[in-house]
Amino acid sequence: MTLHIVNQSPHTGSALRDCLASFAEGDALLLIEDGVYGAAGHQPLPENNVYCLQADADARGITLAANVEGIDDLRWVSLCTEHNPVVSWFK
Amino acid sequence: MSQPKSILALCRHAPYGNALAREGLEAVLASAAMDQIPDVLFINDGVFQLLEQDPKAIGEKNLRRNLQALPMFGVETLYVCHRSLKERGLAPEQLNIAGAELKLLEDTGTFIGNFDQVLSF
Repeated sequence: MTLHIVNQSPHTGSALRDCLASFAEGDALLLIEDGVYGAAGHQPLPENNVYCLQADADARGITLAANVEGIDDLRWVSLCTEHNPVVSWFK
Repeated sequence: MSQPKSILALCRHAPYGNALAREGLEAVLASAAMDQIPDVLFINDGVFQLLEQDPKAIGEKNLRRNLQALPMFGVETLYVCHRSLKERGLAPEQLNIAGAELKLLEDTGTFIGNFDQVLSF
């Protein structure tokens, strides 16, 4: 299963949309940096396995939607070890 | 010896607007020159890289030379996202890279999930 990492705001780029178009059953999505603007619940997101770096969300004053799990760096590392491959959608 | 890892280069940016398209192809050629031949998937705006181009007037080098070098370096199959083509009003017949076979993919998610490592450009 793939871990997709998105770091761009859904309002400035197509990274989140492009990522979700290549999302397979069982994949996980992690929103980091400006990607956390996609975690507030205004964008369509997968129903399961959606994570968001809590520190990045807090820094930007973003409240996570109910189906998004806020995580710390340690959990990020474990997500990377649990998934293969890891795909960055960074532009 | 462990098995070599399977590598996918995900090319998702149009040529000339920024350096990513060129850098992606250069990374693929460099990997192939070191006997680590990646698969290449053109997806999203990356499919625009496969059109005929004439960037002389904007002072850019034509990316097609890099594309045409791919088969010589052992990258003989180029994967193309069919949905990305349709979204951009492109027909598969508009894409032609000499010496390379273009394979249209419907399910890019499952395809990507089969690789050990994915490089994004």
